[in-house]
Amino acid sequence: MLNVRSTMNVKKCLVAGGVLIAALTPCIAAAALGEPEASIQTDALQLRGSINVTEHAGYRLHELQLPSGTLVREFVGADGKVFAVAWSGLTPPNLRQMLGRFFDPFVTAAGAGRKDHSHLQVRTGDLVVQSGGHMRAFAGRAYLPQSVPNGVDLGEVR
Amino acid sequence: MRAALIGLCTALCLSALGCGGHGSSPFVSTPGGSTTAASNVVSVVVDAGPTSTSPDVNTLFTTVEVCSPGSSTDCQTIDHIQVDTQSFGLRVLASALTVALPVQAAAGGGSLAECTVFVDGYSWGPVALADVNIAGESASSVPLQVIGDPSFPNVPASCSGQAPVEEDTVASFGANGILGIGVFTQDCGPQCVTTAETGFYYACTATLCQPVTVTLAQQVTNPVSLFATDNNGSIIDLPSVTAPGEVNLTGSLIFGVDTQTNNASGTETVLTVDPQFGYLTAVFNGQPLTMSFIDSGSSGIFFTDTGIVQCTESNFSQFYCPASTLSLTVTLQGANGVTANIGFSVDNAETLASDNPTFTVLPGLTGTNPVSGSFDYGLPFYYGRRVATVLENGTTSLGAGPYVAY
Repeated sequence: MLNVRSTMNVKKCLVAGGVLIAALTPCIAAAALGEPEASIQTDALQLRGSINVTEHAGYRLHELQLPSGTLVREFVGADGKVFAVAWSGLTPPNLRQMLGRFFDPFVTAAGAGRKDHSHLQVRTGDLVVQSGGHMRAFAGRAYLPQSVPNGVDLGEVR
Repeated sequence: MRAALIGLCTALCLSALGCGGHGSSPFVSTPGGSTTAASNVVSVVVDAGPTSTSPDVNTLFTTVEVCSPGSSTDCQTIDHIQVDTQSFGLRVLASALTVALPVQAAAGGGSLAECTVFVDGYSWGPVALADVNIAGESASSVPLQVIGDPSFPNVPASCSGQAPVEEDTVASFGANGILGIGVFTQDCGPQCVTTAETGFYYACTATLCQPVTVTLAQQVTNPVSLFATDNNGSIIDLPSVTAPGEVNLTGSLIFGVDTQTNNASGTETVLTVDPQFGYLTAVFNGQPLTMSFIDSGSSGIFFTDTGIVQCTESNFSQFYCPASTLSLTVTLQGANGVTANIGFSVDNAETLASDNPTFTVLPGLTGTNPVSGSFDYGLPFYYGRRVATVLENGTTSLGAGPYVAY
């Protein structure tokens, strides 16, 4: 098994974007789920994380350790696109960033109605989001069912 | 004598939700002219909540009083504050708040605001200070969040990106506020002291809010930890429920553990939780689920069992709908290795609702858990039990927190 390890800790966006990153305007408008593998670098910038990359049967795994200690895992298939993201830790990652173009459909599908503060499951035609936990302890994943490579067990997506 | 007086006070408190605070002395005078300890019991209720248009089920409420710091007259009693053992600190919806509370200053300038992230949504608003009175307990200058304050209208994108739904109104939040009395003292803890986290604390000027570090003392804080006495934890004591449920349920929230005669420990089972995330392990269908928790703020029992039929109606998607009620067992295991087998029922959620439209107490309401390694045992765990939650820095005759005991 090939092991690629590249650790980076990037805060350029913070510097370049100044307060913008914290405010209303995303510094770079790109995101991971459904996007090419290179977009993970953007996630690392936006989320201020360091990356560790490993090869697995059927996918390449990018692990981002965020400053909060939250672990984000992005799963890339043979087509070079991210088919799943998963997270666990003190706080969820910014899902607008992680879900990219799937964030708005996610919000719509989640609905405006009140739910339980401790779990959420959203299934649309081409997106599944499963999220749970409580304050100071969150875990979840989002994936594109039609893009999960053959032979990859969804149990590994966590 | 002392026990009798405490019992009397308890009875008086139970007769009116939100006993205590200003207007009713928390002290009981004895014939000799001395006083006994303050009441540490407040009534709690499971009911449909503050909005009839979207009634709650399996949701526990109490009443709190908040005052402007130092004032004995600038006070307000607020009912239908949700009691939540898996969040930390008091949050009040601005629309339910009539008393003016001072907003804390952020480090480096501006006003301190917070993005509270729940799994299903986010709540935005300033972090203010209030004196908090619950039953006879008082805490001064408690940092709390005011959710949906119109003075803080612009939710940062880094907050709204954390979860799908804005929950800044009573209707969307499902309560007039939430009283987080879980095992942790602050809602973020040391991480927010050193790192300006997105999706936590913000420094806001008139035009801009940006993430900021915040001291532990300024963070939204579990009021129990700030009480002068009875500050090591709390006990939720609810009566048992007749299947398949009841319209309402009334019980007690008792502050302190082993601090008064009415909160003494006995032979309870103590399940310690991990000190970082508050998880315990649930063994279900032979699988150890290491991200599990007991949560008065969850409205059912949520676990994954692919052998149980899920409901088909859209309103009940992801709930379980077995043809007949199932009796199952889960083994809870504390970080201390102590295990406890807990039996529970899985009712048909659609039938439960259609047969009992007025019920808000549904012990057999169960559904799937989106996290494969988690068993979320919600409010039904508390029905018919006396459940202690001991804080991370609390100690009792049964040991040191953080732990849950019943």
